[in-house]
Amino acid sequence: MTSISQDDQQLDQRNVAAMDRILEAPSRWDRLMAKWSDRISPILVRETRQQLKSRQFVITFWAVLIFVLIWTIYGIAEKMPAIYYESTGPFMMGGYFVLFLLPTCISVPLAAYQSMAAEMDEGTGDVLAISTLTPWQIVGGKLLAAMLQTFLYLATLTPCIVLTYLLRGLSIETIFVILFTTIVLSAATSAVAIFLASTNRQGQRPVISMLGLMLICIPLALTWMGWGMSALNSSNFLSMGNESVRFWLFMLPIWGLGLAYMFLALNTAAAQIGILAENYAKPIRFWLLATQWVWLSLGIASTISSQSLQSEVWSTILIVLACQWLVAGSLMLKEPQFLSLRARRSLARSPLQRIASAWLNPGGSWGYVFVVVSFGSAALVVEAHRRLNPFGRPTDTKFDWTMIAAILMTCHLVFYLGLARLLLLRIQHRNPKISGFLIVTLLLALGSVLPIIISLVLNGFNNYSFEPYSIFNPMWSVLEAFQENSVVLSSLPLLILAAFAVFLAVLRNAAKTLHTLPAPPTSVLGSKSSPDDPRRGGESPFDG
Amino acid sequence: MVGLHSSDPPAMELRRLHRFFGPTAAVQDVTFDVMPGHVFGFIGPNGAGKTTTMRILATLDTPTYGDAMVQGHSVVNDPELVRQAMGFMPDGFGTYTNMDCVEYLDFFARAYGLVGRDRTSAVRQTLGFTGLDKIASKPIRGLSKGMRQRLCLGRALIHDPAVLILDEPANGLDPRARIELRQMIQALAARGKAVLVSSHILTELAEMANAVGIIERGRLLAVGPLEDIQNSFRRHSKIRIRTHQPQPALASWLQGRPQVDQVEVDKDVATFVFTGDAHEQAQLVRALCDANFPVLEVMSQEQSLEDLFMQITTGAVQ
Repeated sequence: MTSISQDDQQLDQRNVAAMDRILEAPSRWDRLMAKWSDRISPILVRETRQQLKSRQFVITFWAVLIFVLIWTIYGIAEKMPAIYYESTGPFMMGGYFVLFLLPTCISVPLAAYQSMAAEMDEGTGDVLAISTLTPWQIVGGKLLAAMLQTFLYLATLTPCIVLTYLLRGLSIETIFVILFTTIVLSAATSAVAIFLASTNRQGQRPVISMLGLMLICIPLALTWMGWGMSALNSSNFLSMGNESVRFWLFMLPIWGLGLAYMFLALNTAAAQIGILAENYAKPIRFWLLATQWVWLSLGIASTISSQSLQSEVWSTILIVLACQWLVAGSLMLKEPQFLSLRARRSLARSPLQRIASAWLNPGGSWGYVFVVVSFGSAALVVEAHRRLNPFGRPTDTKFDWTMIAAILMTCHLVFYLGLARLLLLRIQHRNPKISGFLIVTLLLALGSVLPIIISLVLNGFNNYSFEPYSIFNPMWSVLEAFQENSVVLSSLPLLILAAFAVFLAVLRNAAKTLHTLPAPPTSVLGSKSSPDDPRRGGESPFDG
Repeated sequence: MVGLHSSDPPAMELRRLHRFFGPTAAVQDVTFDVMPGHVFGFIGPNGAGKTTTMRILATLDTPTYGDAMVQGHSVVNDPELVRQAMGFMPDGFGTYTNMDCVEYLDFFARAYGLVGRDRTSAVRQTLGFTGLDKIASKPIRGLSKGMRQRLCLGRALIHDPAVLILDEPANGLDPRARIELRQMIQALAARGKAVLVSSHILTELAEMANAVGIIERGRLLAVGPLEDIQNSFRRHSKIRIRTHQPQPALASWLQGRPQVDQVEVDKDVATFVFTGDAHEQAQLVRALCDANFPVLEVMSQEQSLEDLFMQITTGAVQ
């Protein structure tokens, strides 16, 4: 009996200690931290507590510490005795850079993914959703927790990085660029991880999203590792970093891209976990547009850096933007047009203002209009830049053909997305979110293959060539434009006409789906009238 | 309608709530109120629409038509205000790894915006009320089902909401844990909280609910205090009479009475089905005494909630 009573006492003491540890800060420092923790995200507080107990974090952290120690000893031994008179900073920094990059751009996003996936899979997401935390605070807290890990790794490496500076050969700017770019990459990949995890549903095995994350993180980390290592060993990079304002002009849009995609991923994740009381399409569309402007500013920065229009840079930017809008547009095509009564009450009062801001509301037709107008505006900005830039127009015809390729890409977006939208208006699919993507992929495949087959048939299956009808093959026609094929120019009106017809048909449907202002809210207690037909007047987000 | 004529405003009001999932009507025209300090039992077969209704009330879903108010705030227009006034205990209970009870409650106290002393005292009070203070340092994954349910109830209570929505809280609990949970719910109602609770354990529900709503295929078939429903659905009652010594003439006397059926006599006990109302039942007892039968005991067996449930519902699913 005595031992049982002692055990009980010990258990009680442990419980009291556990409560005090969390609830009553024993020291002044703890009290200060507790007070401070009241001001930060509850998700960050919880995730930090969990991470500190997590085996994955503890193992990775200790592994980084051990490898840092090994690299420091090896590096110094390898460079002895030259370390006293040679610039060995870049050599040592290379190792620390890899040791910082791998955990922050692979392990940290993976931890963020697991944290969000567990929330979705174990049903804690619902419990969190009904707390007073907004979806944005939830995903933001997850990202902050991921960034805390990144900064812990950085803090571990800081003495070693100071050592590399003392070993000469590295400027402060170079160290800053290497570390800051890695941090931005870590933040962007962690945000993407949170978004991918938010697409998982309870009970589903998240194989595809996990695979997608790895396919994003590993190539990005390896690419930046290659660039970073070559930058550390490149005198040009170092001199640019030290001297050139143009270098910073170029770096700012690069970081801006990372941050814009980070915010896009976070807003999309917040929309995934949020309840459809808000208009979640608005921030997603805003950040999609923001990524486009950052890409365009990167092009402008390249013009300023090289003091001439770079057709290769602009072509790449236009292709990237076309692909981005194609994917985003295909996912928007079957977007439910649902806008809750609450969100509708915040619509503009004037009909003109409502039409002008309709692209910010969810819905396939308006999503389509938003996508094609956005990419069209990007093409216009490139053309305006060509005409107005202070370095003059290019003397060769390369840029003219880049603009023709831009018109082609715009027409293809208008045509294929519009055609898919018109088809989707007649097709019901059990997974509306991906049905748009599937239809667009199918149409693109048909549009790519059919012109080749027709050409082969007309040429007796001997060969095929670019004919006017091949203008409907997106990749082929754009490639031919870059190769300055005159057939593209002559057959362009055909594509423009087709695209215009499809655009008008979708716009006609979009005009029908303008959200109307709901009647002012009345007391539900007084509401005795029966609905005409709740099914017909349904506001269900599942009514595509 | 529960509490419609009371002077206090209802803590929960559901008005003409509809929810369609494509062609499936999960909830159709559900209307009821729950007053502060009342426990409302929400019963129905699986797939009847209980959880969908509760999720709409908890702002986890939006109605297709109609609205629901929690403490006067609309779940459609002011979900943030509803969340502050409402605690929800879902059927499925997810937990966080690497956390103990006190850390779990501390996190949700922060998530509900409690800071400083308010937060620490809320956690302490919740641990005390749910009886989790004895296992505060225990990892959640090591808790029994009953303790997890207590923790989940504690989480729903951490911000001291005026309204509690409990979806199958007694599911999978042993009898002792069920009784303790019932006592906690009654204690919460005594503190003035409005509690909406769904359960398949109807005897438990009958003991604590001030009113019940019976739902099937998304439609509310009956709603109100249990006695009112019993009266409105009463078609017959089973009456048991015990006499002093066996009375051979009793059976034939009873069979000669109107509204009496299925008479069975076993020694000094006679049982029969009576289809009349309460007034007619009193007249029957008076007639028995007037006929000089030495009646020791008359017992009318009322319909239990289970009987009512079986009578009202058809077992149809959608």
